Amino acid sequence: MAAQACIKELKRLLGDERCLAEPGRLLSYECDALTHFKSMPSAVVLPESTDEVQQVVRICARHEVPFTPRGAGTGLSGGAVPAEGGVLIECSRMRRVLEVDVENRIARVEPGVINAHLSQQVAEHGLAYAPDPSSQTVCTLGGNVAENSGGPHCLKHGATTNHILALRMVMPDGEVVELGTPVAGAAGLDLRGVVLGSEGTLGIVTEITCRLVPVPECIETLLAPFDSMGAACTAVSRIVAAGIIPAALEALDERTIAAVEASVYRAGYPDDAAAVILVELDGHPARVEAEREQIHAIFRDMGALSIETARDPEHAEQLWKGRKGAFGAMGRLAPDLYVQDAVVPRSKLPEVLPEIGRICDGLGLKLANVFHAGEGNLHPNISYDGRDAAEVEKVVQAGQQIIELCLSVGGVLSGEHGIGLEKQGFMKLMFSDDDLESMARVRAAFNPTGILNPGKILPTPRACVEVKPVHRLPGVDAS
Amino acid sequence: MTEVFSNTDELLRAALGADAVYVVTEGDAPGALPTPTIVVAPASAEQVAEAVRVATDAGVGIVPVGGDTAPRRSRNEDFPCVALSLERMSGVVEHAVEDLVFTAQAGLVLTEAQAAIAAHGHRVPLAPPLAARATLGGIVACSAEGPTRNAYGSVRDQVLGIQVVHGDGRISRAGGRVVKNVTGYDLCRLYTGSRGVLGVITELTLRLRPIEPAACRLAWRFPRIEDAWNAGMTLRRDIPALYGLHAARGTATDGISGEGAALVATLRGPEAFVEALGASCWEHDLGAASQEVLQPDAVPAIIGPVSALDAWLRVCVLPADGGRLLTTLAQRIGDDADLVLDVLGGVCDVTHEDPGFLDPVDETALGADLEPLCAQVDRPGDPGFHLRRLHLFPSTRPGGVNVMQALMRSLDPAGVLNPGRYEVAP
Repeated sequence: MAAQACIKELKRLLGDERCLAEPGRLLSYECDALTHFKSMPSAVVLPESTDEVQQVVRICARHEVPFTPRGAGTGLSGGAVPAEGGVLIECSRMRRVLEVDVENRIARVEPGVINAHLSQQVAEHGLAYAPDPSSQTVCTLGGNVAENSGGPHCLKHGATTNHILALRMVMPDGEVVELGTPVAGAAGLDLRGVVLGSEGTLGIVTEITCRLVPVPECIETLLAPFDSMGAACTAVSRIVAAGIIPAALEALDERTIAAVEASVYRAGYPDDAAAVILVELDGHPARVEAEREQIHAIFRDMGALSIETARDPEHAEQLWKGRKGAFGAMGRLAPDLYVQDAVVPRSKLPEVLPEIGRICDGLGLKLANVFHAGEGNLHPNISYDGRDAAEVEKVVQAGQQIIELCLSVGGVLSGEHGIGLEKQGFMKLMFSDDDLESMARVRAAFNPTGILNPGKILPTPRACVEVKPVHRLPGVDAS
Repeated sequence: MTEVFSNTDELLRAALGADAVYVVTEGDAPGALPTPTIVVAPASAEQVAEAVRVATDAGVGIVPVGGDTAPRRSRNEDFPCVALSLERMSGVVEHAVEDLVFTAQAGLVLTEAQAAIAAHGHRVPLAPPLAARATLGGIVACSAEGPTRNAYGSVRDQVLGIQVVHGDGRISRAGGRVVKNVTGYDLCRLYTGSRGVLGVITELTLRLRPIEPAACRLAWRFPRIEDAWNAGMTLRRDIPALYGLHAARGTATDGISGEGAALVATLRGPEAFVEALGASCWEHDLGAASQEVLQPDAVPAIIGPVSALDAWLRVCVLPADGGRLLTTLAQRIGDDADLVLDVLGGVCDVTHEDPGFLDPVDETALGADLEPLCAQVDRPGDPGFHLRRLHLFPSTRPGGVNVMQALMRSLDPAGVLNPGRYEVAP
């Protein structure tokens, strides 16, 4: 009843076109890009301003109906899955670039602006927005803030949190707050910092002030195939240990190469290599040249089968097309794809990758690796058929064993996809009860009733309302 | 010493051992606390937790102290406090050389950390005020920024993992020992700059950077600092790869030939890059009275971290507002203070040989001039100023004061940690 009364008020505020409540129109909102977790909202609202978000939040709070913010729904951990019967606040209609301050290299945008569009809009000023998640042509900056999204170029330029200076946010009780400042030396606690990556559980961001960076004077893309992944990873470690921080330092394994080369993302990777390393150097031409020479020497020393330099921007784009399209290309291998996301100390890559291979081989699963090697951010991808319950069970087992392996060498649960619903059950493997208690208290300081995006991140019921996934991977504790 | 304090002294000795507690009876007490002051120096996070519990039970506050480079600034000077010194927690836990990651106890002095890792060609990318005695924990607790900020990011950007002891004696960790991590809430950033009100920092994992193989500094002289800043903005626009760029006047320009104000560009990187970048800078016609290449080992005051707190005002603005800031400072403070303006970051340090140099300044008028610039103002050596500045510019004050207070209540329920630090009106 509360939900119905709430929807009635929301429809009065936004009209039928911006308050969707008919079951057929809600279907596409029941999950994000991690389709294992599904939950049907009672309504989806499409506000167009901070004021409208504030009013929506106040209506939901008054009726005690849980609500969840959503960007483009490209998240990979279930962070934007609505609470069962709750309201989903879709921010995609808030897509204006409000201000570009060229001299100070700052942009103020609404949360529905698509990541890649911002760089396109400021390109005429010789500027760009640096974080570039693989979904950058569709994902929104609001979603990037919620997930603290990464991307291949995080290695040198940092993740989303390094590029967000200030936020306007609607609190769970409807209060509008300004967090952070574009000016250095802000007073008080860094509330902006804790909101970044909080998966929409602390507030709904309605305005974002971003840092822009000058487009590099020179960009050079290198491709080096190796006959073993171990040699490729050791080369990566040596590059960083030599004091070189490339813009990007990515790795693809044999199965990924084969999938990419057989797909529309074909990049011209050599099909006889066990691994390829993709490097991007950027900056002053003299720096790029000096670093390129050092990297060539390391690659030669580590037995690279060849070293290819992109001839021109089009060739570089082609080499990147394979990397960025790798997940899509894996659709050829099986109907479903489980994308794991974990981080290990970079030096542990040569030890961990073969072990992950053994885990998947032991379970008879198809594994393909494509990952941010420079940061030790692994993406073991397991292709499977979701209609086969036994195979799903094996995927779950593999996922858990991979996580346990990564934690055992000093790694963490997620480098860029977040915890969401997917990894709540693993949080206790990494954190003590006291660690989690501190996180719960921080969340409660922002979101005391737990009405905002309930049931995410923390493993035990710490919120008033919990999500019950319609279909969850067995063994993953999402309660 | 009051009866309450005497009792606390005994309780702390009983809980932590006699060697962990001493009393400073005269001179400068840690944390700028009034003498006599009880100092408790735990040797582990567990002992910090025990000290916090004892203090809470005794109704006494805890002021965490690292290198004692940031005086306690509290409105509530009457709240009895003991100093909690991290001096016995200064060990290196791990230097993961290949991963460029460093873990140490919070009481480790930065210069000792730098010495420990320099042999591997690494550095901790921090350059706080009073760097010679600043500790890692203190730098992080105060988010003590310095001239490396533009090249490597803020203090918050360097903290990968953290252990803290909260006001209820719980020990908790956040983050990890890897360079990329979105596992749970980013409490590392929250604790960084929290000035000890959410927890006593006991251990840190920091990102390291390679020591750049070559460095060079170029200097130009101009009649006025406004001219130096203008020239700096030209370089900022044309040459994005600069490591540092500072405009200055006064004694901060000592060591640079000529007179007047100066602009100094710092270049770091591979040798060929530094040479090429230096040539690009050199070819720019900036309209300077003179220009020179500084000796490699000359570190002029202009780009060094602040070395005295007594007479230091820091004003931060957007980089393009640097010129307006200089005009305001000239009008309100006069021309005899030393100025160093970080052209890339918009951070201006104002120092003077007379610690009372701001006494005659009309703070209200200064605030009215700075508010349109969205300036952030701090005067680290002045007890009380930090609190006042939160009220100085109400329209630009960071929001969420209620959340800040809720956070403090939830992580320090008895209000025992650095009491009075953020007692701000909603």
